[in-house]
Amino acid sequence: MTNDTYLYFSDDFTKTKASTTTADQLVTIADGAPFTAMMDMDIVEADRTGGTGFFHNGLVSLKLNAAHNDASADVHLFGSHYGTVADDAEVEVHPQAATYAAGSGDGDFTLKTVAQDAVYGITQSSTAGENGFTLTLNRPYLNDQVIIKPASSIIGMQTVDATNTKLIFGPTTNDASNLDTVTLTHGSNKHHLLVASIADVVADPRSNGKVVKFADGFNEIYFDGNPAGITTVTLAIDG
Amino acid sequence: MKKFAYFQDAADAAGKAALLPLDNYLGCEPTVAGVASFRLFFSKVNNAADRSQVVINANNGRTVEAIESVHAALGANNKNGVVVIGDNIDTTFTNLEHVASCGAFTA
Repeated sequence: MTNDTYLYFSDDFTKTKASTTTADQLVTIADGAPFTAMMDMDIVEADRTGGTGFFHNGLVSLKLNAAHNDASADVHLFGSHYGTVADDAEVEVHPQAATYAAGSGDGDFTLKTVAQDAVYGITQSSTAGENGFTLTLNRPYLNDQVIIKPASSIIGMQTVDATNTKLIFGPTTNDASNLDTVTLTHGSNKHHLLVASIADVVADPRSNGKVVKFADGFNEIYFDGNPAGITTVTLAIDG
Repeated sequence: MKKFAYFQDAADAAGKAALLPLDNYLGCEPTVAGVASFRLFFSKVNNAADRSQVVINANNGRTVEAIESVHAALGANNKNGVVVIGDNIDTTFTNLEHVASCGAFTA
């Protein structure tokens, strides 16, 4: 029976993006890396309270960069879940605090005020500039962020320079003259260790039929303890 | 023995189901937009130098987990060599973990 080995690669891109700042309970994230296309599925009230949707599922986390809580007239208000929040403290927004709607070129989280949800709500400051949030991507979700290639599609490996090696695969498009490549940046002159690791994966029958996270740059997890010292993963997928 | 992956995204009709040999599997990546789907690529079913693809819809925000679930199924040593990845019309069939449904098949 044919049992290939499935090699998992993810890019090591930056995981965070800042929101715009307004004073209307909106947290707007414009399209842009790593959210090249903001999520296209809404989180409605039933998702918020029922624990469903991509926010509850942990795809992203949302943080208020600096609580404004200096006893002035424009402070943030926090639900009981957050306890006592110090001025300028970072605050992790609970998924039950927000609904979400996809916009055109952006995505909008709408925070519940404390009056609307006394436990998880956050009432924004009346001063827009105090309402800076950061959205963090916790798992890859878009094309070019992660790829799985069957080991049988390896065409070869090629050194680029002292610290880069390119793994070359048959293209996902199956076009005659194109390729998928994964370029790994590693310790100087460690190519032989990288090649040995690939050979270990492909030749080991225990790998057959399994997904092997060879270079999960997103989570900085590398096969076999990363003997080659991989630091960067760059995907070039034939689209 | 060859292994095949089976997909069905809607009621029996032309182009709504496919049985594809894993020997022709090219790879997988998430879709261009959204949070809930990814594509499996195979050599073109008409044998042209092109690809056929199947969209798999994951549970909301669980794309990577669904990808791993599908590949675990592809690699399993099942009895008859046919791995059902997604079937939207067989009411007795439960899709793989984190897989919500089988999306469109593009021959």
